Amino acid sequence: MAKINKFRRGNIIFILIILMLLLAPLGISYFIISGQAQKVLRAFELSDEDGEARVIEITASQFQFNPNVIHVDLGEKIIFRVTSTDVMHGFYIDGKDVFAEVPPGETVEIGPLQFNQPGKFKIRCAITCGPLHPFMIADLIVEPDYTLFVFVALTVLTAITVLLYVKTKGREDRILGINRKVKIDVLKRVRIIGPLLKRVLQWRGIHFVLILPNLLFFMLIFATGFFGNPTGNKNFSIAVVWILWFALIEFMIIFASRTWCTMCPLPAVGEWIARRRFIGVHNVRKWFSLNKKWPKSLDNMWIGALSFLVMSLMILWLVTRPVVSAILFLILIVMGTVLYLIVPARHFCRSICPAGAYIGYHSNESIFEVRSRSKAICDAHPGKECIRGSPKGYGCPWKLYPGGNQENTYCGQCYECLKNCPLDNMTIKARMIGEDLPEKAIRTKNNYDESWMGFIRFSLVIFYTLAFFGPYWFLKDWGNMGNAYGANLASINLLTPTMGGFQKWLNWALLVSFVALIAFPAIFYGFSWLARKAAKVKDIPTKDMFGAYSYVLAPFGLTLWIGFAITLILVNWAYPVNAFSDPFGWGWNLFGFKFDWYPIFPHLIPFIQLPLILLGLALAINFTYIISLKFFNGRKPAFRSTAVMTVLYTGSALLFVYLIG
Amino acid sequence: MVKTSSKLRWEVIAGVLVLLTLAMFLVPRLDGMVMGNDTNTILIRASIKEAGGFDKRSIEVNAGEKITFDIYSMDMTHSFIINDDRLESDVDTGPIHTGEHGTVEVVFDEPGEYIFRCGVYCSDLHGAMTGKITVL
Ligand code: SF4
Ligand SMILES: [Cu+2]
Ligand SMILES: [Cu+2]
Repeated sequence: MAKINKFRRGNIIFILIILMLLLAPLGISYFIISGQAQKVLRAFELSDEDGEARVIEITASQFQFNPNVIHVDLGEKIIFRVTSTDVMHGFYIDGKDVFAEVPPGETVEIGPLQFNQPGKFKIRCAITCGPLHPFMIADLIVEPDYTLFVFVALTVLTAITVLLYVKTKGREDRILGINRKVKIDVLKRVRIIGPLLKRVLQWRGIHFVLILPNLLFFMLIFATGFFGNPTGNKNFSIAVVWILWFALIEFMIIFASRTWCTMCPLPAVGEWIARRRFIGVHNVRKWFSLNKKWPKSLDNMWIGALSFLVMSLMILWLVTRPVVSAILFLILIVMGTVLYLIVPARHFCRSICPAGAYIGYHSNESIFEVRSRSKAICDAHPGKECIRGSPKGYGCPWKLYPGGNQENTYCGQCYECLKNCPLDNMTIKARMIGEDLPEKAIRTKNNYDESWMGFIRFSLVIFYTLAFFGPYWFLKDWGNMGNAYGANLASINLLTPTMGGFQKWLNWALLVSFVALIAFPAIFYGFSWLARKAAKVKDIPTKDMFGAYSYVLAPFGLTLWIGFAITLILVNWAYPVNAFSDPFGWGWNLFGFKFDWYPIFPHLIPFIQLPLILLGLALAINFTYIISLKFFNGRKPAFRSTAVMTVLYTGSALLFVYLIG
Repeated sequence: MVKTSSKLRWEVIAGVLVLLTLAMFLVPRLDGMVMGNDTNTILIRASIKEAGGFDKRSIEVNAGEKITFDIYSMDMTHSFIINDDRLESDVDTGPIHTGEHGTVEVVFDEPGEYIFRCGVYCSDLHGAMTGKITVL
């Protein structure tokens, strides 16, 4: 009885913390925006309400505004005088009802506009002016920037609160007050949906039925990518993949782990050929394949992590040039197929695929898992159909022992084990975020592939935010190799890099790689060393603490990526939606809709992102504490090392807060 | 036995469905159908000259017929203009933003060659973004 009460209390605390994290920034934003705040803040206003408007001169050119960071005073009246030095551009300010056209060579006056909400806003180009148009952005900072001040204070406050929480109440089995060990057997315990889901997942056709529509979309991606409109945001292959899909994946990880891999068409073709079947089970031992073994040295996440990094080094071309995206997916689908015909298992997905690598890495934060009901039953069962296969299904194509599996990383959710198990011991469970993360972090010794995946993902969300939504043109220019042209297959020659362009890209590539592969890990190692000193323990090497702590970047990074995904959707939703009606960007209108581009609540985006950052920060601190408890078996040293690491996490969070707020 | 053959049937159906996804590559062929085949409406897609300029650069029309030019901007803001003394007034769609259509109606009374061009600066080779209409 007492136990249940405790569990409930834990739940309530958790829900309160979450609510607080979500509501505080929203409340504050409302306060700032509403007239109430104006009265309070009026005292600080420097300029005269009726005074003359200040003129700010801006030049617009492909694909930048100059100056790209503009400071104005709270309450000040501004007239923007915008001149285009090349093609037609647009002018839009977050939260203002302004859509201006700036014709080539002309100067347009916009305003006077008064800025009554403090904070950072984006000035965006509003007329597609070439491939990088969606990233043509300048920052407008309304000073004094109370919003940033409040954001910083909230971040520090969150860190301190969580630290106090772990110091007084922290327990190994509690994360932010909730019992992280509670799991729900969805297939058995959830009424109606559970049994229904079980029947669907045990149906042999389900895999195929999910893959087929995605294969259809991939064919459309190839067709549009190679032959459609050379401008990315008007082309299905870019708008749907890099805005809709890219964003949805981040959410899917949290709620459904690797569910994308259930329906992914990339390795499917090879799998079908090797099995000689689309749906049925056939001759499980004789594959249509060279039947080679995958080398042990490659059976990790190193290549996947690096391929995600390499993909990211090309990201500015990938998300703007349809033909580049089409080529990437062609390479992936060919590799997925060929590898399956050499080694008949999902090793492409385990070790090569860039998406598979990061989805797998973050999937341990999911509230979803495929596990055995009882590992003991599996261990004692000599049949092991989940490994060997049976007439009902294939042995695990991901080369796991499903019954004994303890982590999501390499479970591609193909549900063969659910079909195979004669003891009905496999199921889906709902659970707490990062339920098994600390155990995994401790278990994984002397393997740093996932640690570096963490550093890469964490660094890259910052670089993506800068490249997609930041004001600094030079960075985008570097990543873009100074090229101004969109391209499909027919105009691919326009992408021939110039010597200067290549040098620019080299800057970008070296900078990103240096931060992600060397600088950030080095700083992290330094803090781990300090944490070890602070904990005053001798018998645990720094490298083990470094390796284990690095896993907290998984939940932390994921929340940042979700924030990024939300921004992506809110700002650019119109492009993917229109791409369904006009996939080739040829002026079709298949479904009778075509939306004008406008961002949804752009001035509120930071207030949506902040709670996610704070949640990630809180999780990171708490997980560090749990991992430390497992290391040191003592609250004092665990707290001290957690406190040291918290400095680093808070610093990283503040960097991100500075970028968005 | 019955079971096996029904299983096989599903494999065949699945295979056919997979092959059908390749039909996505035929979708571009539907262009004419989607955009309509009105003989007096001429659809011209405009890209910067570096990427090909106007996709129709040589057009034949009959004198005295009312022709509708439907210009679609692929990548930049372009426009469609004809400045020619033989026409009653200058033809100008005005700026057409990326992803937009712009239309203009013209009646060519005198046979001969007419030059059309883009009237909004769009790239280094903007000046070369032209095409020719032959009026029969
Ligand atoms: S790992 Fe990559 S290729 Fe494999 S299923 Fe997942 S996304 Fe698809
Ligand atoms: Cu622009
Ligand atoms: Cu033009």
